[in-house]
Amino acid sequence: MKVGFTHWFWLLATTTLILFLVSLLMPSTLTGPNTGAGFLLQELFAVDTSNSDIARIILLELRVPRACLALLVGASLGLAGAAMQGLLRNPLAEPGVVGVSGTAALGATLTFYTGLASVAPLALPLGGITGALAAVVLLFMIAGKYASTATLLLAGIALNAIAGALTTLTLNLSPNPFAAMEIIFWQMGSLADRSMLHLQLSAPLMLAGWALILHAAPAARGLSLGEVTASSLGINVRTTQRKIILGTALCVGAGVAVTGIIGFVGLVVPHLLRRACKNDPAQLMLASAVGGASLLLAADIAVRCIPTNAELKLGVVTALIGAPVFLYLIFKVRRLEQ
Amino acid sequence: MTTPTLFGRNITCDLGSHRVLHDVSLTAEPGKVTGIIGANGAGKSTLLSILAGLLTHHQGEVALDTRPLVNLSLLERARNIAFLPQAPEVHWDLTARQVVALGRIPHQHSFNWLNTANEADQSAVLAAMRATQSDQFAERPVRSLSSGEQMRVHLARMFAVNAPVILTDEPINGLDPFHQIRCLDALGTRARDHHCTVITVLHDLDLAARFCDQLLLLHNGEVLAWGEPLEVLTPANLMQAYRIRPPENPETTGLNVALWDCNDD
Repeated sequence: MKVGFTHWFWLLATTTLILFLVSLLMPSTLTGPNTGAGFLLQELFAVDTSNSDIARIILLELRVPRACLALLVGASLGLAGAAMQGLLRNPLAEPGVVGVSGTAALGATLTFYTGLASVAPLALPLGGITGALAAVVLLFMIAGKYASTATLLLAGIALNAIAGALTTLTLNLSPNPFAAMEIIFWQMGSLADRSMLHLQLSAPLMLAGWALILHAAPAARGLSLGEVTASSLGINVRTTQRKIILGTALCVGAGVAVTGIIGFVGLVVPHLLRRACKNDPAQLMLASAVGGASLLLAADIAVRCIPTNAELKLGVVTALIGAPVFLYLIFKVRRLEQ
Repeated sequence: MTTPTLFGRNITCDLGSHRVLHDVSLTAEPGKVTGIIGANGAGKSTLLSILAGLLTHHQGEVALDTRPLVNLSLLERARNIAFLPQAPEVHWDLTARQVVALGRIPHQHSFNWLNTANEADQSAVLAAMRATQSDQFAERPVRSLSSGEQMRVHLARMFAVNAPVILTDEPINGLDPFHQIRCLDALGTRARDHHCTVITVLHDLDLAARFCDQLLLLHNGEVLAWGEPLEVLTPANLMQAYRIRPPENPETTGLNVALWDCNDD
């Protein structure tokens, strides 16, 4: 049983590593076809240093942030998705159910609306992160001391609805069509043109979120038997619930703040890997983190390879893959219920 | 580990404005099966949750020997008291063996991401599955099993904790006579052979009389009777607690299946 999981896990991890290197070294339309692995490696280690500055800039300013963000955001979405499904014991749960992605998007949208985003480049991710943290504070205020998981879920749905309404209001009132276009494009989710600053800003929050979720992961295994049995086994159900929700809010909120909304990764990845993990919620979290990173790296590479007039947005591609899988899930659940 | 005696002293509990339990005391000794009986809504499940340490907003005290339950850490409590709730849940398509293995959680360190089991875990799981004869469907998903088979898996899960105190809430609900008798037999064996302290909530009075060493009859949250089954199960007590009366012609007693034995050879 253990061997099977380790086998899968290393396979996924190797895939992720390969995709990460491909993302780092593949040529892109922006910098031209001759900026692939050969060019970068040749110039970085060359004796003649005439081109090495360009190579370094391409690598450090463009490729590293993009590949690292794909890795971190993908892992966050996969991990948080598996964690929410484990906590709620529902295969249709996803990281967004607690409301953080909605409020993070609202926070970011407001920086566009107020023009802050164009004045200070960091205003956008900071706005997003503020939005996500606001959601966490509100969620725990609504939850109070003795909230059931169902109450938290309803509160999350309400937060999402409010954030969605306010985002639409912002679009409605936006001063000019360009601002509205900017907001809409940003919301589609993308990893293009993100800088080291974006990475430095979001990475610590994502890592903190991972730590919280992973700390609670083995307890989520006990939740497979329901909350009463889990607490009889010495698991603090409330602490587990808080760790997973706060962790999800941190890593998904920070992710959405820098990339925009990237849907369905958190829903689809745990579903695809559940069987390989023998339905074990804790192992599924580890595998989904690696699987999410793989999927997002692959989707981002696809976005960069597919020749379209305007660059395809990452969130569009993940939704195009994810939505049919979601539909399939619904049909499957319906069959089980009959 | 010596098996502790479980004491409940003067337990009073309000849920909202409703008084569910009033001044309930009981003593459950090792090696004995203690049954909690009473009509629906008499407070049986609430009492069991309090004895298990899962419901803490009550007055009075629950103690294992001289140690009050509130002084125990979550893990200490979990290692000492195994609990099987009414209608236990299983989410995901976990196999019987996986579910039973979850009973080892109190003995595993809290960073067991890969679900590794040491030899003690493995042998406890195996012994528990053998004791309940659930090893024959160990690799099947629990949700695909029959109710009787599922209950055997849940009993095994509870036995795998290897706790000296065992609490179960209506474990035989919805089971056929074979599984009802098999289940209570397993609890009785656990009490006698493993010297465990067993407390179970039951609805079937005939089976309670047969398998329990002592009974606590609750009525509207208060103790109506407490003692050996024959002292507790008197017509007067039953008429008061259950709003039933004995038949006018006592010769038509039927088959009395509750006294039969399992025949699986």
